[in-house]
Amino acid sequence: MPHHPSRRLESVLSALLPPACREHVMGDLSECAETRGQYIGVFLAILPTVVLSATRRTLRWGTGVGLMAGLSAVTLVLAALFTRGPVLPAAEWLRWVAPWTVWAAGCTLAAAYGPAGTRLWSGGGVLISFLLALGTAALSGAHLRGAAGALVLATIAHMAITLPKLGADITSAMKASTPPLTMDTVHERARQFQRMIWWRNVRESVVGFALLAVNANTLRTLSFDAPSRWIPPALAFAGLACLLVVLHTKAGSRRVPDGDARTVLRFHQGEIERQRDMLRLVAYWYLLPLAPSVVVGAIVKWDPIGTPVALAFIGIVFFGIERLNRAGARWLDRQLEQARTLD
Amino acid sequence: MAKREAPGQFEQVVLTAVLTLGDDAYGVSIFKKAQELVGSRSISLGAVYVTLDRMEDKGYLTSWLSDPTPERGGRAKRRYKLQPPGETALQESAATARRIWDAIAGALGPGWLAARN
Repeated sequence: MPHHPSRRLESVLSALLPPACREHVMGDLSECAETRGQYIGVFLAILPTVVLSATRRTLRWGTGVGLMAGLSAVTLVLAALFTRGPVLPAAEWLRWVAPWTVWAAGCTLAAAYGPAGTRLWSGGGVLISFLLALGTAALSGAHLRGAAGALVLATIAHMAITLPKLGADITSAMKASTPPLTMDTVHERARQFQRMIWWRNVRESVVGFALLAVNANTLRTLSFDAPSRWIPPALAFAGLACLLVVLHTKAGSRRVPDGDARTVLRFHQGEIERQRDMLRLVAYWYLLPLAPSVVVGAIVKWDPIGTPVALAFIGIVFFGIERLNRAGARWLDRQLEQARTLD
Repeated sequence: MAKREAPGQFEQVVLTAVLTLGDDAYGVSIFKKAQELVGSRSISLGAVYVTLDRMEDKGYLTSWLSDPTPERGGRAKRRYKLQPPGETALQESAATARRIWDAIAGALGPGWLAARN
């Protein structure tokens, strides 16, 4: 008799698996394990091998991990030379090798944990790798701000080089990797969809609240008789607050209703449509609220070279976010078409 | 075109399992069939997944997700099918095994297998 684990256990364990193998490995586990202990035991035995396999496959797919390793090596060398002087002893170089190693290994894993069937990386994985690399830089004694700047620069350059190539790849791979929806599985798929939205909002909120805290702290220390200094962080604070409100209301996750498959199918169709529309409108509710603080900040801190370069970078990042969300909306469109065929 | 590397012993076992299972070749069924083929030696499900991934990368297999079923907690199966390069590699391996078999039988005499059992 196959063992069906609790939903919580299943979601915790499935989160540890690379998305490319999550669907079939979790299904195979449900089928072959007869007790909870066996389920967990088999899972733990499988995990390292499937992670290694996913890592090897992403490297073979040429997802740009090598490019990122190369770019970050160059930017870290430049950061070392700028912050520590033109001639560095061997021991000083070792301080910079440590964060680079952590960063390259983290990016490799982030590629392995990227969305199923795509060459995209896991955003959370990149963020964790960045924080771990900075932690390593701090421990090894490398220049912290120099290392952070170098890794950010390498990431932006990497995005600019690789993202334009990935549009068609994402579309076709997502289509191939999504299992078809049936009336038997509509309850589970609707719950999976809501879980996905919930986790996305949690990730966005963690970053959003961290930035809110940074801006609130900046405002706390500023004198209000110099508007040019407090207006940009105040606008950023307001923009982030607006964004978070919309994220948790109009783009928030909802509870799947109890009822027959037909009722759940109607609900699921409506939810896909709602999330698709929110992705299409991301420029208005996600990017536009942040624009005033960027523009005002650029005006009050105008620098003839630095400001245009910074604005160009921000423009590229905003453009990339908009394009990615458009690709996500197209994917949801196909999900909706599939759900409508069951009517 | 570069010549493909010949499959190793465990890879041959997995390819044979996929071949014999036909339309029913997916993770658990391949694992059970492979276990049957290797006999008393124990194998792991993880090793089967890694081998399937590698065989797919080499072009010996193709895979796709089938319909999800309630018995599997609403999860889909990843089904596998042997491709022509995989069939060729398996045939070459079988021919090599056959030659080794004949060579051993020639050296040890016709009763060698009975003595081994």
